[in-house]
Amino acid sequence: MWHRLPFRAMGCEMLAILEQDTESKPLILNDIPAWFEEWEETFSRFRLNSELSRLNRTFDQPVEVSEAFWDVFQTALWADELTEGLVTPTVLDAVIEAGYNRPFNDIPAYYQNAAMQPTPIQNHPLSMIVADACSHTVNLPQGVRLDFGGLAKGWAAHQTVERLQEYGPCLMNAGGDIALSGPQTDGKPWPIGVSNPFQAGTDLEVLHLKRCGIASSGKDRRHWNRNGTPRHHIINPFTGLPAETDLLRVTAVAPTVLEAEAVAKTTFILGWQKGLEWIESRPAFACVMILENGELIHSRKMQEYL
Amino acid sequence: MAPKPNANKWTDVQLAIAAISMTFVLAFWNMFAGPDKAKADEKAAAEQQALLIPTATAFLETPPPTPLPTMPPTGYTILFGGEAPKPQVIVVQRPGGGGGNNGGGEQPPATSTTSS
Repeated sequence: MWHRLPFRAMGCEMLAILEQDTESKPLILNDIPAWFEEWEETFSRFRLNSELSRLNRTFDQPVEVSEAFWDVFQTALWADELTEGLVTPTVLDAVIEAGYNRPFNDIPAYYQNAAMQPTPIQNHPLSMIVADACSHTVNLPQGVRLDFGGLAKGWAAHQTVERLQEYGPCLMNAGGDIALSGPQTDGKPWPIGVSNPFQAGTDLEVLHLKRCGIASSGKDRRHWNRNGTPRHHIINPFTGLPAETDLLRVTAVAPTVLEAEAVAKTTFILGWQKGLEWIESRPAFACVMILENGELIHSRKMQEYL
Repeated sequence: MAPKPNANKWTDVQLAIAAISMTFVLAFWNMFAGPDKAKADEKAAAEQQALLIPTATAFLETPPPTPLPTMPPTGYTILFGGEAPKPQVIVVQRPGGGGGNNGGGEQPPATSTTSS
């Protein structure tokens, strides 16, 4: 049977599911919120004393980082390479400039302030960061700050499943980023819904997945209005502004949730035509795109999961 | 030679007989044709009355009125200027996941993905 543990962390609703034949809830589930608290203390940009915030207050000096931080930093470098710079951890200033300068639930739906100043990437700041693999130190140049965003949530979901899977088939949903350990005990895939952005509490369709990762990126949830202009949190690094796209949301399926997170964001920024071309040229990935007019577009590989 | 003395008298008798015959014909005509006309008038009046008063059957057999068209038939495009309206795409929710090749549709979703 499925043992569920819903909880809240990283500003999102979380859900861990572990399949076991016992009636009582496995004790290991109770440890998960503490793991997330520890990771939030490492990666949150809204906590002034988080490891990330402390690093961002330094420049031109090597700072030793934790194992978890180093792991996510390396994942961010890999994502930047995979997406040719579209998913990069150096857009923090642009995100803040867009108005995402506090936990999302604290952002007013409409507010007025100074006109927005685009902060496009220049000279690829990620390449200017000096990182030493032996000492696990990171040296930020002046003016460069890091924010791992959804990548940290995906990494947390991935880590949770890595730890849980020895107790049975499991999944971890970290605010929409879902990691699956493998099929259920009877060999069946997990039924995973793709939530309907037009009607809360319902699913547009159900995917049937085994060992893989799922992630969604879109402007249907984290969006606001600044100086009369709609804004959202997904920045196009090459413009320094929230991505202008005809997509409302992209849900991606990939071998890992980390890849799915990078793929979903890239496809969303590219828009449906270029995004579909991009994803079709990478056969390990699949996606379903939801256009602003409500139309659904599936990549070829996604048909296998419907 | 002098004319016959009784020639005008015979002509007068003929005229008198013709006048009396015509009088009798008219008298008898009026006597027998009058009642038929009255009956014919009554019958005609009754038929006219029947046409003026509608019956329930007549109402039932009347076809319902056809409403006047208020919208153009499908396929017509009326342009009033400005931007043409965009088609609205309605996404129909797929019941139970649609099966697929994995035996889906048997279990409700374990969880759902949403924008992170």
